[in-house]
Amino acid sequence: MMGKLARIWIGATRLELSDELSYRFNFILKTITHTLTSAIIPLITLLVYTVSSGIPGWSLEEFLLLNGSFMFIGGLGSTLFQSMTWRTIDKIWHGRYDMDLIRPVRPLVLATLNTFNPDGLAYIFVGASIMAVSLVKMHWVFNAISTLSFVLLVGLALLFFYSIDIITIALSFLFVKTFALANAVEEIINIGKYPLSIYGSTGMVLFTFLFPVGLAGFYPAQALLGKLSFLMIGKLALVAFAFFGFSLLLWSVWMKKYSSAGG
Amino acid sequence: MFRKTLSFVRMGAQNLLAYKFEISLFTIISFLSLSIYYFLWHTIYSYSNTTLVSGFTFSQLMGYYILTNFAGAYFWSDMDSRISDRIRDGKLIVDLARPATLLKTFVATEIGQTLFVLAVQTAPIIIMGVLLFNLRAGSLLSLVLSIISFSIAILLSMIFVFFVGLSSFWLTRYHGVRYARSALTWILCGGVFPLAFLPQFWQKILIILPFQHFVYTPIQIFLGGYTSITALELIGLQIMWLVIFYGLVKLAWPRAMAKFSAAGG
Amino acid sequence: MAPVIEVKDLKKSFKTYHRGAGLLEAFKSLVARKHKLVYALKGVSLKVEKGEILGLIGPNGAGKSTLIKILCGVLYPDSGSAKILGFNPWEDRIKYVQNIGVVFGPQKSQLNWDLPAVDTFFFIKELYEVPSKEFGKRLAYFSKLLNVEDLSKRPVRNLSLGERMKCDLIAALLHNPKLVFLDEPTVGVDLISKERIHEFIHKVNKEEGTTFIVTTHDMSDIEKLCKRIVVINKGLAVYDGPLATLKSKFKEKHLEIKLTEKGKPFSFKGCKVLEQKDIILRIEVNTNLQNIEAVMHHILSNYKVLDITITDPEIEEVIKKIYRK
Repeated sequence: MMGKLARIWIGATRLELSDELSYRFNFILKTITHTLTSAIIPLITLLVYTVSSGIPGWSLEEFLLLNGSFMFIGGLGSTLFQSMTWRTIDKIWHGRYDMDLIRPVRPLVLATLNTFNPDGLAYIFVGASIMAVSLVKMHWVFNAISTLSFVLLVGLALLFFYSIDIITIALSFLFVKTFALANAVEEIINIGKYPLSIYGSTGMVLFTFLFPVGLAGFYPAQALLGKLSFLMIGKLALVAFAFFGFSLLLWSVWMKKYSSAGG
Repeated sequence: MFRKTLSFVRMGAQNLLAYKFEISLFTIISFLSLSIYYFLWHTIYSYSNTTLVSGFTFSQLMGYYILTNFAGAYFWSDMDSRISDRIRDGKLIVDLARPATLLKTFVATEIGQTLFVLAVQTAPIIIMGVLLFNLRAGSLLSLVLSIISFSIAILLSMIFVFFVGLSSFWLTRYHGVRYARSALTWILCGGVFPLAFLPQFWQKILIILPFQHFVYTPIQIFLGGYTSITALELIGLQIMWLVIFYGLVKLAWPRAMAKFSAAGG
Repeated sequence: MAPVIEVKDLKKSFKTYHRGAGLLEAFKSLVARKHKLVYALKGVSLKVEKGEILGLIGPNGAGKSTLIKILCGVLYPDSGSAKILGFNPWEDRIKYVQNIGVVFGPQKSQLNWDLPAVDTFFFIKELYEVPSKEFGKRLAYFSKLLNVEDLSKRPVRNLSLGERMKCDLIAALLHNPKLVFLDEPTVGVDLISKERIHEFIHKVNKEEGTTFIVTTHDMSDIEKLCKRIVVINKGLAVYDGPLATLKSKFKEKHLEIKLTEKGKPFSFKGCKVLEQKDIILRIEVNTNLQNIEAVMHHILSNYKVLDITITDPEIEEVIKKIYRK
């Protein structure tokens, strides 16, 4: 079973790559643009820290580290699976989603396998570079525990992103034309781009336990800075898995509704 | 002549209206992004213990972001993608058969959508700005000047988008150009932060480029960031860019058509 | 042997939303939308044996595509039962679809627009776990039959509609499905390609015993491919049987008479004049009311006849009559 899935993933990825690479100009221009727009994020941070004293509890380097982890994780998500949202929405919109339903693989699995997108590579690269620079600047010493917690939190963040994507697609089963949903998701994830403390204590609880968007950047950066207890990591894991379960539930209910409603 | 153009405008608005869910979603997105900016800058202002950051009070900065939202309604146009889509699926020939130039058909449809978006999507946000952040024009004069400036900016950004969109006659895949056009220029337009935050050197460079006239110039005129003389000069620059891009479209159009007919439609 | 398809009493209804024309109506719909229930299928039963090529015809909106979608497992019906290849299509969907092939017409091509069709074929190979050897053999054989050996290496967007349809057909057959649904396989396809596609379907049907369900508006598809047809109209199967019986069910015969000189206006019991112009006279005889011999006798004794031909009405007209019922 895993072997089959791996072969499908490789097949789909090969298809996607040959598709992208057959338009070299488009591909190069996109990569340059992604690199430039992602370089803007630390630039804004620098600007903010030049014109003001910045954010309480966060030095410039630490804030840059937060920027870097946010981009790194976002890049991983969009490279590995995030384009499944707009690809599926596009199929639903053009009435081509039926073609996914006549395949001998569960539609969610198929969507997940058919989703490699090289656009995110620029973000992974720039994000990792920013993280490296800021860690060097703050004279960070390697620490196995915080590094491991960081890796763990990146995993949880990706699970959270994946759950959101599932919910987005499930929503579009109900409302058909909803490219706006994909935009909304992007905007929602931006909440985790900044320290959760700016949203006050209510926001802190909300974005940790109810809708764990803090995983998008804030908590992984905290982990790397050694500011996250094991207990907190455990709680976050629990929340992320619960959220994932919730998204699967929504998917199965709304998928059934779609199959009984489509024209 | 005007009626014909108007019918395209109406068509654009009707197309959009068909998607009620999407429209409400866009308003929610705007609220969300504004809220994030609110919390972020609120923290920064209170921590820095200052009322002014680069000449902006907190309310003014929020007003600025609200107005970029307003500008986004015309700047984030997908007209160029529509041109490219219609070339791809061979439907451009239908547009070319209409008794109006392609520029007029597309820009008029786009203006219809934009006016609608401005009315429905951004009105709640503007109202919020007026009530919560005391958003108003710097003076009566700056209000009048900014209305002129915004009108030119709308037309300018549409002709710009159309001009960039013409490149899809040569490119089988347009996404890259479209993404560069919208994401990169939005930053240069002042859509992400006020250009006044930048060091003087960069500000001087940006003033030679057309981009800030799409968004930053009309907003700053509205907020009273310029003297009326400067404002008038900037409106002059906007008109200059309008003429330049119109000329570029006129120059590029026959070539695009030649390319189109050479490809056999 | 059990039939390939056995469905009983399928029913399906949809909610549809509608709004009036104009800007004002558009604004109204922003606040409230009216909806009504539409019954797409009102109880359709169907049985298909292995190796049949069944034609499914009916006007647009008759419920044809709803039926196909239910049979493919894409849609859940409101009620009714189905056993296709031993599966219930919507409940055992994943296992079931491994055994079927589908071409959903030219708008829903499964080929990647910007890549050569071969690339999509390789993806399908992985998806359906087709062994490499069999894949290579089938691809080569089908490409030869349909004459697309070179085409499948060009980007799909550069292919004509007919060429694309051929590649789509191959894509639907690579995994050796036992049952294949073809939704409008020849729309916009040129005559030569159409003939090739017909031959191809016949050949696959004969050699592999594949069952085909074909929906179409094109009567040449039906005449060339299907021995049996099912006519769907207003959510019901209004006819199910051989094409020949459908034709003979309608007792009208057409007479075309050429005269040597212009005759008087024609009128006779049980006959309808379709055309009378100079020396041409075309009439339709309802053989329930009048026998042909009597009509012939009447004509020969009243007119100076050069030539008479008796024909069955065209299928298009027969089907139009069924639709009107």
